[in-house]
Amino acid sequence: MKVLLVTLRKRAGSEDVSRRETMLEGDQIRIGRGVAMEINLPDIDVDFHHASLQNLGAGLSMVAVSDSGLRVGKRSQPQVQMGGGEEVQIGRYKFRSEAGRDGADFVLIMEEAPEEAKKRRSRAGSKRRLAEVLPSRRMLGWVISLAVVGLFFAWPMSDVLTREAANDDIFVVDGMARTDVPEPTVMEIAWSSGPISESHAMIQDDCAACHLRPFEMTTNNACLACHATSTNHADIEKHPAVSLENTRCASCHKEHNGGLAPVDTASTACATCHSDIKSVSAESQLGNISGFATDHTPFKLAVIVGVDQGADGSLTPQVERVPFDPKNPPLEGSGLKFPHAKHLQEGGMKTADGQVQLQCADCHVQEPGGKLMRPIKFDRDCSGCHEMLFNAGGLERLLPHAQEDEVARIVNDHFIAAALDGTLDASVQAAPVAAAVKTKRKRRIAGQNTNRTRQSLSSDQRGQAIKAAQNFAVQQMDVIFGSRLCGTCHEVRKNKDAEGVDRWRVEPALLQRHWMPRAKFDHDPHRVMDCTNCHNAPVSKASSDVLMPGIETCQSCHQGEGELDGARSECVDCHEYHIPTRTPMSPEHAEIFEARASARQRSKPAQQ
Amino acid sequence: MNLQRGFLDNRSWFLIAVLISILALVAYVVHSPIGGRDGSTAVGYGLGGVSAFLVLYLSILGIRKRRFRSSTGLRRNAVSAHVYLGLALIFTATLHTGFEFSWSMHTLGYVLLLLVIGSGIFGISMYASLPDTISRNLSEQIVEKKRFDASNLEQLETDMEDIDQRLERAMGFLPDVFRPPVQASLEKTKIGGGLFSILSGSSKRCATSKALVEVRDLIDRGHFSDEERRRLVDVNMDLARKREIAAALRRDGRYRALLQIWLWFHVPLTSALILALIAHVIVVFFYW
Repeated sequence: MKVLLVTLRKRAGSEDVSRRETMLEGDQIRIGRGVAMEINLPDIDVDFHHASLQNLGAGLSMVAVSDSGLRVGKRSQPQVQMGGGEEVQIGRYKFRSEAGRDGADFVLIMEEAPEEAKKRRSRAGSKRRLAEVLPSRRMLGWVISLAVVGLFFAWPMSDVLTREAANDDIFVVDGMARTDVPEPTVMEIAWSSGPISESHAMIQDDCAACHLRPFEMTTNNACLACHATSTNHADIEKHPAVSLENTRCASCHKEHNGGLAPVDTASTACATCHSDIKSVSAESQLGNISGFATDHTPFKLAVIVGVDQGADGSLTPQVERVPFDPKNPPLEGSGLKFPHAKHLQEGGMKTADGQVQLQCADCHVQEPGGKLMRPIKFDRDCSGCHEMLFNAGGLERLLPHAQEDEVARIVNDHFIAAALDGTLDASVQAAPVAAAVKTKRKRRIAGQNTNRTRQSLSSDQRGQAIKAAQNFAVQQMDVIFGSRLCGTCHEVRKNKDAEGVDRWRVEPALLQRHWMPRAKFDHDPHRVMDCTNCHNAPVSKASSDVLMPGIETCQSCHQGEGELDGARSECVDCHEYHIPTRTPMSPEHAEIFEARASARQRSKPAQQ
Repeated sequence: MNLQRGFLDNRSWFLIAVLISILALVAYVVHSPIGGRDGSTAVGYGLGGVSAFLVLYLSILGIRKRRFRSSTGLRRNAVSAHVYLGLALIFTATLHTGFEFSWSMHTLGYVLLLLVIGSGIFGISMYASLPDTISRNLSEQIVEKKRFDASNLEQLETDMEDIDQRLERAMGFLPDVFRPPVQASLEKTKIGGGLFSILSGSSKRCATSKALVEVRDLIDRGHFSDEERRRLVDVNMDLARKREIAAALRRDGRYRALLQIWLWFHVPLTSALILALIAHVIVVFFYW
């Protein structure tokens, strides 16, 4: 069998076809990858011995040798009769047959497709540089930049610029927050340079409550809308130099720093003036202070030196501010006789209920919700032991506190009534008033007063009896006021009134509660300490002792400014900058505020 | 002095950067304003201004040093300024914040700045260490340079192509059992691919590496003619060599990617940073 092999080879990227003719001879012509094959197909997809050409009698046949088979169209066949125009594909080679010529029995045309460079050199196609696998940096830059600007700038800005601005001329008379502030946009919150302080929490999202106009620093008007009644620090008529007329509130009150309030707690701000106060105001009476621990002047206590009583009985203290020197303490003139030492003595006090060991807190209780101790009241704090009991002739009666005339009337009435009943003697016998305090009160049993005998008296006898009764009453009053009851705690005096009658008077008494009126002392944070750490009451024998601690006592814990130096010691921890008794910082704002507030008050009943 | 690391040896820019940092720190510590230290005090504005200037200056420097391929000396000076001033920017910008951070556009700007500087620091560290490694990695694999002007990389690529051709030719003498491994090595030996395969540079799943194991296994188990044995010795050697070259090329891709990856952060984030910075300045004065 002679076969003329016509090889048509296409070059990659070219339409040119090279043609070569080779004559092959043999019974069987092998086709395959192996170099020993008669028709060698150097393609790895082709089997070593892929197929053979044979003349099986009916013309040229191609018989598959390996399992790979022969592809005709889309089908794989084990054997193909080549004469009928079939095209067989092996790897990248296509075979078809034509009638024999030039001495050959058959002509076999083999078309060789160009090698698929990509398929072979697969690694050439894989991406090896970042630029091939990542989006371009420029594109990324645009995307991120536009996202940032769009989200955080353009979006909120477009909303801010198109909405109506807040009113600059408003006063918040009632309620906590302004209602005229436009709602902020979602992303406007992202413009906040820091957290709003807790005291402004209700307007923390209302940017426009403070930022009234673009590119303008927050104005005082914005602050005064709510804080119209803020007061000055000093009396600016006396000390005009410290007027803050042209100062921005925000120059001291820096918001967006979080915390409790936008108040600068550092003492350095105060010290700029107070370390050399005369340089600011030559007339100032204050001493120079640069810090609590360093050179704070001694506490100036408000000491009661006397008590005035008005015609209506109201008591007014005479207060002197005295620089407090614990070694040479001032004397308090409260009008009271009270030895702390005796009340707090070891082993307790003898009372009607037996021995009782008193504690400070038995009498001194912190005001609910307040910082100071509640005032000492006789009825609440003293009368538990110091019962004002008048006990005579089987009669027991509590005398009213702080009502001298009433006490006199009760005692008088009692003896006169007894005289008229003819039971005066028994009554006088039973009237050792002093005993009432010391012994436990015993309930009088009904029907036991068998010693009382009723007699009817003549008018003369009545006159004498009343006189005798009055004498007894006077004696009893001396005991009640002078020694046994009132005089125990109070200074008392006896005067003759216009009619020449003896009248007992108790000297007015008042206790100081607010010893340091310019400081805001709070007992609460000091609860971990003992009362006696600061108030040396157990050794105090007289009520004229001032039991306040000296500044050195405070300084033993409050050692200086800055958080690392013991307890807090900044000026504002005790003092207020805006002193409530001073004039308003902006009189016109305060005036308008007052006017609107009172107008609102007046209009209230009409609305209801 | 190493050419790649030269930009770190510039003493004057180093000193200027240290000076800026110290001045910023001193100003921050000394100035104790009412309301605490933050960006809105005198020193805060100062630090912010310096930081903004540095950001813009460094961006321009960054563009310029890439654009002008002038003399090496000049470029190295610019890189040096870029690096050291960029590091000083950490101080000025951080002190400008007063350490007050929140979920806001202002903190966003600061975060962008830190990302830009951080990616830059990554870049510096890569540039300081990788060039040596890159050249060693490839030069170690060079057996013979066929063309004197070919780069190591080109030479290795050529070597690999030669190996592939030899393998393919050898298949004309080898039975079909060797086709799967050899074909896999020819067609499936991938270098690079996606982002992660480039960055990992791993040769764990190298097709040639597997092919080598399989071919050795087949050689051990089969009986072959002398001709086939001769060919198989060559195939074995070629596959082993190809495995080494492929691994080296993968490492090379990884090193080059590491040398560049930071730019995909540094450059786009810088443009975002500049816009965020402008927005920050407008907004803080808009709501003064």
